[in-house]
Amino acid sequence: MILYKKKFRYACVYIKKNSSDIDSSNIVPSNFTRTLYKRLIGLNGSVDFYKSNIRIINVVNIPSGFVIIKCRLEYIDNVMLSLYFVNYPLMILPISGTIKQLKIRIQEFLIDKDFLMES
Amino acid sequence: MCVNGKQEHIILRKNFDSLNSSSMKDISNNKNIILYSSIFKGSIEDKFYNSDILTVKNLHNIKSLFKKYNGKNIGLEFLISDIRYRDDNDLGKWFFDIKWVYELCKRYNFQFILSSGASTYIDLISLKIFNTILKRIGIESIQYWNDLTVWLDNKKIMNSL
Repeated sequence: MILYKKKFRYACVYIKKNSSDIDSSNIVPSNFTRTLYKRLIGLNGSVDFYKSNIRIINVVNIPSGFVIIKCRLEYIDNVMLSLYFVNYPLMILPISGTIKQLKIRIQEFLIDKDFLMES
Repeated sequence: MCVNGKQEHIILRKNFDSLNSSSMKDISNNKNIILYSSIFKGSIEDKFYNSDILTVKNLHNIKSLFKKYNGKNIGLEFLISDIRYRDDNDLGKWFFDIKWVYELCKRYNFQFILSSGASTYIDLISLKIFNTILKRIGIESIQYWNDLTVWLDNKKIMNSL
């Protein structure tokens, strides 16, 4: 039996500040998690939901409002689709294979954040 | 609408219902292609003979619309922002209906257009997610983009005549 190493991807979303679910300590909003999981199950079914191994992970040193989601590479399309259709004022940042790269993208996003969010 | 980022390829769009004489003058002075759009809300009595793009808000009477404007080469536009926050059942039904509409578009010579309908940055949609939506509907993304490019090129030729 050949064992393959599972590949994962990290997606990052920025939830708009005035959303009531973001608290000051940057703890991942439970409402957001619940809504996302519900949407993922609703759109793709519970089997694909569990296969996707979706997790919301806590990463140190990321600015408030950012949520990092980890899931299996094969199911990244399902997760991205569900993220888009979640009823939250959020922006989806590009996905990445490493948290290090994701942090760079967050920094790049922060440069234009004010401009983007004001419009 | 911009096909490949060049200034001369920018296609302007104007809502047909909001046109007045001064805006018509502005448009006639413009060198870019202008496509006229209207909104279809399910009433077949409305006349859309001069429209290039019809934004569909309601699928009611859609088949009659196809029959009435058969061969007019109208673009039928659906906005993702209209359905973004609907519940799972409605979304599932939308994906099912839109596939049927896509097939009707092919049969009756309409151009199927899927648009983000974004009015803010929050509503913007990435190409990856857009193509995933197309895939989920059952449309080959390469074919969709090719068809759209051909349709826009045809409109460009028609406008230049």
